[in-house]
Amino acid sequence: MSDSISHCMLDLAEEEYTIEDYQSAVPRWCVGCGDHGVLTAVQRLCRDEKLPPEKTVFVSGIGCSSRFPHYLKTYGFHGLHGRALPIAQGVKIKRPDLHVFVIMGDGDCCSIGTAHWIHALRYNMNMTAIVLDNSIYGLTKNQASPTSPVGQISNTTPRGSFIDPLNPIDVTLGVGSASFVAQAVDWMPDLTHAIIQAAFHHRGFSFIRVLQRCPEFMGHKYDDWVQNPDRMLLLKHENGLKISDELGRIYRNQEIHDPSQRNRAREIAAVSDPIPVGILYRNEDIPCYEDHQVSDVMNTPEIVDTYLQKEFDKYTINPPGAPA
Amino acid sequence: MSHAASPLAAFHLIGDRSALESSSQAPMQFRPALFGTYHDLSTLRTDYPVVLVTTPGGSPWVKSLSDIIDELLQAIAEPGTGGEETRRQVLAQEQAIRSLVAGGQEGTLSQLWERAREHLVHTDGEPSAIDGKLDDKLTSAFDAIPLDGEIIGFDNRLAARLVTRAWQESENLRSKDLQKRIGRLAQKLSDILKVNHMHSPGARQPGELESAMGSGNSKVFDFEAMARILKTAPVAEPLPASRRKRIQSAIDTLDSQRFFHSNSAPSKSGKSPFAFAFSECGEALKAFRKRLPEMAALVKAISVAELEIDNHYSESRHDHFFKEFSEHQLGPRDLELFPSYLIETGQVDDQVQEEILQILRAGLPFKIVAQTNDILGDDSLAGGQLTFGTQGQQLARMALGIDQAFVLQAAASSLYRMNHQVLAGVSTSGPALFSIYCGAGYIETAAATESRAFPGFVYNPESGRNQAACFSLTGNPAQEKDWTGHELNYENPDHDYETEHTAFTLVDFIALAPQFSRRFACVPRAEWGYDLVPVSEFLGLSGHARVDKVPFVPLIDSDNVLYRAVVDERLLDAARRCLTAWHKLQEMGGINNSHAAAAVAEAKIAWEAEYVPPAVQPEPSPAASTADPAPEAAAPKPAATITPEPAPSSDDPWIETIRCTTCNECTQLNDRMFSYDGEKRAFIKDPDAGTYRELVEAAETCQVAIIHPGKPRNPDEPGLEELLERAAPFM
Ligand SMILES: Cc1ncc(C[n+]2csc(CCOP(=O)(O)OP(=O)(O)O)c2C)c(N)n1
Ligand code: SF4
Ligand code: SF4
Ligand SMILES: [Mg+2]
Repeated sequence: MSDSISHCMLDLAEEEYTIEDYQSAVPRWCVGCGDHGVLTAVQRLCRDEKLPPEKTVFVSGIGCSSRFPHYLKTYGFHGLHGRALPIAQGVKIKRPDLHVFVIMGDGDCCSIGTAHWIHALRYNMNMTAIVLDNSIYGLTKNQASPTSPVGQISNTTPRGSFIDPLNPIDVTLGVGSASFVAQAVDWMPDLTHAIIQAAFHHRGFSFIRVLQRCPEFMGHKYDDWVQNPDRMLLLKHENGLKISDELGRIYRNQEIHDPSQRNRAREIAAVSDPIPVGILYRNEDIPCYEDHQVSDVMNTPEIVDTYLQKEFDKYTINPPGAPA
Repeated sequence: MSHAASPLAAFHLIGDRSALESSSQAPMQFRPALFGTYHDLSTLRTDYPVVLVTTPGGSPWVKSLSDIIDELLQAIAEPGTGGEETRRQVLAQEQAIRSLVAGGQEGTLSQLWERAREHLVHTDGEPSAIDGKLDDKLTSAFDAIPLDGEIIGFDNRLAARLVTRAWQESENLRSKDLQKRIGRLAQKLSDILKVNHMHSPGARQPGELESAMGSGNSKVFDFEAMARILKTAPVAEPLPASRRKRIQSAIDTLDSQRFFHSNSAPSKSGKSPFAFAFSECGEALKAFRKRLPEMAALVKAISVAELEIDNHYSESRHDHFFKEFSEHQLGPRDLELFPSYLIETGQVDDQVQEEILQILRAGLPFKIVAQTNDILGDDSLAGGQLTFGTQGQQLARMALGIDQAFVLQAAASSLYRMNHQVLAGVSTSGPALFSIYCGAGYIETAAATESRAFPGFVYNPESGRNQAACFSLTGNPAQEKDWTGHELNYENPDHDYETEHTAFTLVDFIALAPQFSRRFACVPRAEWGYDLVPVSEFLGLSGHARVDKVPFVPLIDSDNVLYRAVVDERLLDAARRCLTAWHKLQEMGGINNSHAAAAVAEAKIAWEAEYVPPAVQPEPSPAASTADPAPEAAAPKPAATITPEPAPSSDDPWIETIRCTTCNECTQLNDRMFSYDGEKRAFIKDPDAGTYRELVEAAETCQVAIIHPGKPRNPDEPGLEELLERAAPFM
């Protein structure tokens, strides 16, 4: 026998899953919404990695994209607008055994949630964060977001948005302890699947921006890229994504990019046509916050009680009539 | 040729001293000439004493006093003359500590620092103001040393204490992890039982409710009323009795285990924890066997706990297995969880050797320190070979044959430098043997390694799958050479300075042992002649070249006067065998591999036989290259070319499935015609399950434009002309 008893016993209990095991309610996103394809890619990942549904959590904020957890038969937390990350961090710190995923919209992550985003990068906790970036507030029906292009007409920018959009990849690469940064597009599902898989296997905070079509409010923004594979730029490397022959035949515009090269990553991030997709940056050596936070003390009720009592003992409340 | 050659040759060949000059004495008071540089060993800055560090967090587990002082001076003494005084004082303090340790004093670094400081300050005889300054300086210098622990000098117990400290270090790490795991499992199991109880009607009794809310609420809160209300609330299904029993029994086993214990939390069973350090193999084996059932019970409890916590325990699948589970099922991976056993045997006799090999063969997690203090033995043989070194080395050589055991052979003097290997040895999951030689003192011990009498090596089976990864000759000076070489500097009778290059051989080492003195004849300088050849050189001479030559080693007497000591043939033979053994070790360590040398020689001959100088080749014409593709096959293809996949015939409808974004559009239009594959990507399941119109509409609505409708399959379908026009962009 080469393995320990408990391993053998757990193997005996290991289950095989199908995509259906992770499907929950029928998605209520608009027809043609890019979120559908990302959901499928995520469900495929769960199946391929045999993630036990009871050991997997999807945390989201508020937005169309944030409805994601409803469509997965795992644990989920549909949180507050902009606050998905702190909730996910709380889950992870208390339950490091769970697989934690975070789903955010561009408004969710890059507008109201910016502070949490920057610090989540800095903390580098082991989880996978996906930003579904449709460059608009979808759920609240058409307001400009920080990633809306100049000239975008919306309810809040009736004469067109006039300040330059923020590039989430560039901002992320600007935080020194960012350890995994990738860009995907919803209309290349196999690649999205491969990127999410690499992100899942990365130990640390993985950040994936997915350019997402919102036919409802952004019309045909990405049509030219969707229909013309030559306007996509695939980033590949032996330490990054390996492109299957099948995919390589369709997307012939490819660049060999070493994900350890941060400066080159920033140059690539600045390109918007062709749209670069793949792993821009990865560094396995950045420590996770959890690693610094190891405590030998277990949070048993007794320990919690002792600590609380100690704190309470710092104050004395004199009942009326008692000597001061 | 010197007039003394023949009597010396007679001595060398048959040990006949009768014709020797009276000045050619047996070397009773003699030492190897290279020892002449070392007068007072206690002032020598060797690797010893060392501190067995016990400061928690980040420190190494062992550090030599000289390393500690060097780092300290780096930190506190400014470079250049400004720091000179500090350096002098701290180095004097180091010397004082060395002397204390050499004088047999024991204690921690801080204790000896304190004693040495007092000694320096009070016996220096300098004025008291300076004493005060020195006092402060040394006190504050000590504060800058980040570690503390017992300080031990070089003595007979050194190896055992060093390995013991390494073993403790490794066991602490291991036990900390497992203790944490066991504690966590027990906690989570109790949580399950607790939740079960909280869902039971019993937990809703007024008394329980009150205790759950904490004291001080009884006056303001009516727990009776609360209990009455809660009575009507539905209760959860209780855990089945079998599961509760299983969980409780796992908790009990986890709580009462005696293999790991922390000082803060004594074992809940009240039984004292097991000890794992032994001085006899038999005792250790007995203890190990006796504890096996308890080990099996703990392994079982851990497995059950892990399954229960994940809610994966299935009675139909697991009950039977666990019922049958006993110590016989424990595998190496399970044993790895438990502390290893440390055995410090004294001198190894035949019986102990057999026990050790038996343990190593069984792969048990025992770490054995076997020390030998004598590798030369006595000079009692009659006619046979001298067996120098073989007693000590035999054990480690036999252990090497076992293959799965970690083996470290070293002189005690090398152990500090090999501290990483020592730690690796005690940390391996399987057995480990530390075969150590310790002589009378540091220099004598180091000389055993220097002379190849007791070479060091490490075999770590966990380092890899081949010899190169597992075996290393670390700890030996000049690994790739036969002997170690040194410069011997001396003054000749004319008071001129002379330098001689000399090798330190096994024979030089043997000269340290008085029982062999009759095998040396010391020739004073006046009688040295060309016939005297150093042993290292003599060994390399062919039979013919040896005629009229006699081998010698340089020795000095108690007044440090240099002699050449001619050695007898027996010693020379011992040196020859020692060298052969060393060559074999070298080969194991990848130096001068005889197989490789043979293969290279063979390959060279073959290559020379076959080699034809290249003729200038003409540029191949394009026609020739297509006609004869064979030579081109090896040429790399340009990386950029990607052969396009032949597109399916445009007559049949098809989907570029790999680009499908699972948007449900086509499948909602006609789910018999369009369907998802295992990856939830659309493909055409049945082109005849719908109309051409549907195919065209699907193509138009597909956002990614990956549906290709092909040619109509039913020529009678109405409106085909218009449909074909709409289908054209998707062909
Ligand atoms: C604290 C707070 N502020 C504002 C809102 C209103 N709100 C709901 S969703 C949303 C923006 C959604 O945009 P995005 O995050 O990009 O998600 P999308 O719908 O585009 O996927 C806003 C502003 C809210 N729910 N909570
Ligand atoms: S509004 Fe846009 S983002 Fe929201 S569901 Fe519809 S298409 Fe998707
Ligand atoms: S319409 Fe296109 S993208 Fe949508 S499911 Fe069908 S093939 Fe896939
Ligand atoms: Mg948005």
